[in-house]
Amino acid sequence: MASEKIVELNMGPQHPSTHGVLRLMLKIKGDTIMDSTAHIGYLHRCIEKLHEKRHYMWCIPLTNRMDYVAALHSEHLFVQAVEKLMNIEPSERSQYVRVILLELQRIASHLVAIGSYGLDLGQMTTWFWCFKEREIILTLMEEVTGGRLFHNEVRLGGLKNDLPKGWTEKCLSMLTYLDKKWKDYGKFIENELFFKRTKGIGVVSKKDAMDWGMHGPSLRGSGWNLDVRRYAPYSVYDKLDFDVPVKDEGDSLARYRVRWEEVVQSIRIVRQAIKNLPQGPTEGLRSLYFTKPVTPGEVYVINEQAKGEAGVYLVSDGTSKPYRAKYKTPSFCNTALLPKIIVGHKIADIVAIIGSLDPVFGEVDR
Amino acid sequence: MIQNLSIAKDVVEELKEKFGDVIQSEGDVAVVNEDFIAKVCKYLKNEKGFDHLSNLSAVDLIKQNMMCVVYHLWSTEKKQLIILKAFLPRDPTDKHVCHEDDVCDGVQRLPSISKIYPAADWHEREAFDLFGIIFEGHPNMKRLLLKEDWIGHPLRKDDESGVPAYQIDWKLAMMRSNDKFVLNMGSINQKLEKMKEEKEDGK
Repeated sequence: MASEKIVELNMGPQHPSTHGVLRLMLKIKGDTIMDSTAHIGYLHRCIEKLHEKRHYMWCIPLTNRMDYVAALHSEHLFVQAVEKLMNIEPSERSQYVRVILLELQRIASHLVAIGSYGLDLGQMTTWFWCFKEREIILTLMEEVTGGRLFHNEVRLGGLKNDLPKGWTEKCLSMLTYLDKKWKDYGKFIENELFFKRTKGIGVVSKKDAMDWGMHGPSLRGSGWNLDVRRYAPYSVYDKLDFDVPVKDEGDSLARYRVRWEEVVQSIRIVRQAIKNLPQGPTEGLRSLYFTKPVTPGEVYVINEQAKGEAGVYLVSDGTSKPYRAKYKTPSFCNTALLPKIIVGHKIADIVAIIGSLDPVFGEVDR
Repeated sequence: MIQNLSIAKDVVEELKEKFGDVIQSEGDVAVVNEDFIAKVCKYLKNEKGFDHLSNLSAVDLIKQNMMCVVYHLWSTEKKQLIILKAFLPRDPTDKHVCHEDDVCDGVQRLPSISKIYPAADWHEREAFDLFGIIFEGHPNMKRLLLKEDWIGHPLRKDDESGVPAYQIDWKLAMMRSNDKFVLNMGSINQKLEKMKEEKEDGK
């Protein structure tokens, strides 16, 4: 076929490398993308509408289903909003335990991101290694919460379960193991082939990244030193010492490297939190409490999820059910600018760019 | 620690001085006249450094017969948040439609800020999809999450499309399905060549 013609090509929604149900309509000339449109909504489960029909307590399992590889983050976001609305300060110990679990969850999520990124680029070994380590973390989380993916753990003013006996020692030995392995994996992943596929691919300039609404590790890969844990601290993040990895290149490689370094920082945070873990109660308010009316008003809170800054705008009208809950999710914003990034690249690079943005479609479609 | 987002109250005062009656303050929130929202956003972005659109959400205030659109703008430099609200009249029916420009007859209209904040593009489409708010000047005001032939806007409080879940006005759907959807299965070239041949034969 003559290469001057513009051909429409449909990619997805059932494509193994689109990280879920993303459909891209591509206009290609030869092998180059001239224009593209993204279609989403294949995983829309009306989570915001369902919030309006349920008591506050019953919304927590719903939020788990948004970002299903880092379920604890969305759960924490919702509880954070209700706590702010009712002005409840959780106990010191429960905040530390939350941070430990949140950071373990971040490591698990980044392991999925990096593992599947390896798979996208033809490094099957990366996938197996990352999922092997993730399994250990999920087992640790399961011992605390009882769930591997959907935890339903955070309660208003506390937690469902405290850490079991001997758990912290197990966690620390796992971190020592992961820390050592992670450096080896980094050396393995960054080989010549990997550079060829990622260096200079999908470059987003610093200005564009902010204007188009990029979030999280992808934004930090474009040179913005922005992390909610720093600029609007919540829980006990202001008492912990950690760095925010930033890269200036703005390409797929930079986005991958930010994620890789964030795992190292998360390990650091968990170690500190375990070291400073105070004694005390962790029990939250009893579940039945949620069926009572909640203070009327509206709040907006943000937190740093594995994919970036997420926010919830919660409106309460004084009944026991939310009047409106709007979730701003980082994957939604990152997917919105995907069609703009891929223009001018080759078809094979699309997969490399999608993988570097790490969208999760439970979160995009809600 | 409960998160405390610092609110730029001084900027709200400045806005009131600059724009006059158009802006009223309600606690921390600046309530902006719906026609001026784009102008205010432009001023905030270019002059005041609110470069990050943190959130854009719509709320259906059925008791006051109003729709409300809430903007959360964040200044990455000053680390401050400003909350803007625009109240607009509410459509009595949610069966007005939809994705074709000539049938958009709703009264819930608001200037789009997607030229100022490109990040607002999908947020506005989502608000249109779920609430039926029409953002004027948006380059691509189409449904985002739901199917194109969906009738109604499900997050409105009077929407009944929740149960039974899926109702299609088949006549309307048939009318709109004029353009065929091309699904490619297998080798690209052969399929396209074949289609091209068929098309030429038809002529």
